[in-house]
Amino acid sequence: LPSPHALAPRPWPVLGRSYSTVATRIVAPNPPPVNDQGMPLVLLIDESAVQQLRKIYERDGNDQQALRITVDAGGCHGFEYKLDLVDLKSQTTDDVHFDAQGAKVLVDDVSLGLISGSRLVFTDELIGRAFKLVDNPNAGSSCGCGTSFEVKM
Amino acid sequence: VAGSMPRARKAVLSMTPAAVSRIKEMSKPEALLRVGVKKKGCSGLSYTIDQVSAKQRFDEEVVQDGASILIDSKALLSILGSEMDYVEDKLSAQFVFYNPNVKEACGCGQSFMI
Repeated sequence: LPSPHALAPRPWPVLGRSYSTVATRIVAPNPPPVNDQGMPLVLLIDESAVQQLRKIYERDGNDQQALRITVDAGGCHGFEYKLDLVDLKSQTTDDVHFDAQGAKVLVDDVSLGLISGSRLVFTDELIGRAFKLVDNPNAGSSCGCGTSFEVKM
Repeated sequence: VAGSMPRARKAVLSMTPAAVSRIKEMSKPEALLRVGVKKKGCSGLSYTIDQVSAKQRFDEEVVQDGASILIDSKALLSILGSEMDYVEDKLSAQFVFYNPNVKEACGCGQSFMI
């Protein structure tokens, strides 16, 4: 597998699916990383994900938690998303901190390059409820469950 | 007389206690839960759960500890002998299937090939 660092992210996502995306703010101290074209790398956070993170903060009585998104090598399509609930204090200088109406998301800059333009949603279906990353403009093909993907080169 | 009692047929699908309690929670008198498979995902098939208003003609009904679920007749062969579990963690809560017939499965446990 090529190093994730060697892969250039795509500029902007194709919008227009029926998700309501809320504005995300990039929280200091990190300036937003940019891609080759100088466009900032972005993450779209769906209203459903914001609501669910707020519920988690309320359930745990702790709003100093963040959803950490990491891209790892693995899965049937080369890369896979890992989502964890972490303490906000685990933020390092490599992390970009997104805040969407109080819902906090941390993504390290290498992973962000691979998921930039994706949408974080919380799906609530009969088979289960889970956070998912969808509409990744960098992904060429992906797995049925959406956890594993291949990068367009 | 030995052998005169009808032996209970082995269920098509078994459920863990977690799955039983979640199915009971989700059950509504007017809607039945139905497990099926559809062609989707990297390994060929993927599990689905739908709500239906009535049992279809060839559906198999599995009742265990008071929880009842229908199995789509088209999915019977692929699901046979599986165990259905409900896994909850801090971020998600979903049904997963442990299927002894699977040759190849996806990392998420939702897509598989027989």
